[in-house]
Amino acid sequence: MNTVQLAQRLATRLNVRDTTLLEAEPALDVLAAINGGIQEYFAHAPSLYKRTTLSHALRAPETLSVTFTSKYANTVEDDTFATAMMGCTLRFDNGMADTVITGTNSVLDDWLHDDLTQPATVFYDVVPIQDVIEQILEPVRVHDATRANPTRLHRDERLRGGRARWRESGLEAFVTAEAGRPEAYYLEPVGGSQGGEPEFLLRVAPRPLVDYTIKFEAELGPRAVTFAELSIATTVGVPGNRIESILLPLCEAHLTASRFWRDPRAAGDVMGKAENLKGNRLRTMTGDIAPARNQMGTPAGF
Amino acid sequence: MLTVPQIYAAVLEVFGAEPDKATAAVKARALTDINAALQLMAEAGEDFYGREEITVTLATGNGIYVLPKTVQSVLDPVYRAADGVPLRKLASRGQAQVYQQLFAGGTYGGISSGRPLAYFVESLRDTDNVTGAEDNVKVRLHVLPPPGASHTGNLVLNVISEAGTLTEDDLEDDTKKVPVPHKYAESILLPLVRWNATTSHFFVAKDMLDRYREDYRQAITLLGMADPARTEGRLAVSEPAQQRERRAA
Repeated sequence: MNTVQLAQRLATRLNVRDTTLLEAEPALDVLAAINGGIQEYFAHAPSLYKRTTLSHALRAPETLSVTFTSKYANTVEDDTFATAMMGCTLRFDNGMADTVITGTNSVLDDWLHDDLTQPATVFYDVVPIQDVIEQILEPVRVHDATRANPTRLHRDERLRGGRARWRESGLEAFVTAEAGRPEAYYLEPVGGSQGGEPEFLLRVAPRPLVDYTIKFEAELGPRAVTFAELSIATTVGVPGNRIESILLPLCEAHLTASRFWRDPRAAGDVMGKAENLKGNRLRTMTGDIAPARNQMGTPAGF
Repeated sequence: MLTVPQIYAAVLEVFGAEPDKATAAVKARALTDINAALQLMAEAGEDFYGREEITVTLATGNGIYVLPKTVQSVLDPVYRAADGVPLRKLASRGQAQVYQQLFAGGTYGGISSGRPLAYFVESLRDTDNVTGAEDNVKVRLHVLPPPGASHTGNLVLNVISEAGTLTEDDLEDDTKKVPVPHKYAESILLPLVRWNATTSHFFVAKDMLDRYREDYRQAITLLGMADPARTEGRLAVSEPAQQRERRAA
């Protein structure tokens, strides 16, 4: 079922003149119901349906010249940095403390020197984690440019303080070098509550000195259907055999809040059906689409 | 199909006048009664008597198009000729004003062009034609978002235009057919015209008043039933027996 079909099915619940030619306002209610239903479906369905493998390149360092607009400012000349450098560590040749690139013309820390222009090195040591990523699943691993086995990174939040990496005693000395092949990662929040994008930076340590690929599995939030997709059909991101039986009732329950809802007497039944689906059907969906058989006592070859 | 002079003659009959002896005042009154009936029919059955298609050519980045002055109403669907995808009707000027933020998920700022998805019809006073010969109305079609370079082409609009207005010359033109579809001239137009004429001080056939009133009522009933596209709660003209039963009930 595509988005136009789903919208039309939902529109039959509304008090409108023509369900195939919804005006913009009821269409917006249908859109909210579709997205609400899809979000609930994935919130209750087994998480494997949200998983995918993500890949990101950690490039070798680049050198460039940075000119600050003034002392005690964190702004630099326009377009000094590329968009791909957002969140990367910036190291200055003059020994100033490392900082982080926050925009094409800004860094995190104010400049504390009188000489405003300075050569610097950009270390590509971050992966931007957009809000569509709900959860990162280990193993997080890096490959270099060969077929050599990947390095599995361990998470070490102590690195966020910047000092833990210098510990070299005992079993806690996970990260011993400042730059080299990445061995660990940690997450830096970027103020999602303030509308910041990306929401997190996954930063690796040591900082890469050559090109690497970092891979990991993640659970993704469902893609939102757009207003345009109610006119230009796209495929609904829910398996076809679960749309009429599960998704449609969930969407209808959301639609009962619309001022165009046609039959108030039916609203209770619609919401009750949706609750029942969330409590039973969705919970009993399989979380493993390839369950292994019990091989105990099975002869070889069978 | 009745001609305009035949309808005119029917009005004069109500007035007790002969066509070649009708005064200018009688002629003017008859013309008014005929045009009034035509206007009533045009408004009564939007999907039947008045619907017609016009096209609007979209231009890159242009979101406002002035429609012909004869357009009275824009009906659904408004759609792209290239692929038939209908545009959604915006219910208010406010929805058109905040389209980018409300429907396109944008933040504050100018509207971006793209694939047109919605429309809003706005009627304004035409300040260039306040006292001129043309109507002082300007009907504008807002297309949202404004078409991008790859989304031009034609829009097809279903509209109701102004009812055809007859002139005094038409009253004596034997070749002029009344602008009424599907031969509803005798069953609908004529009773409406006669009933209009009964309000004139030229009306003399007082003994026919009850008959004219009954004909008028039947015409009004038929006006609602005659649209073949209307099926819910109404009967098509091809079902006279059922119509009689319903009327009797």
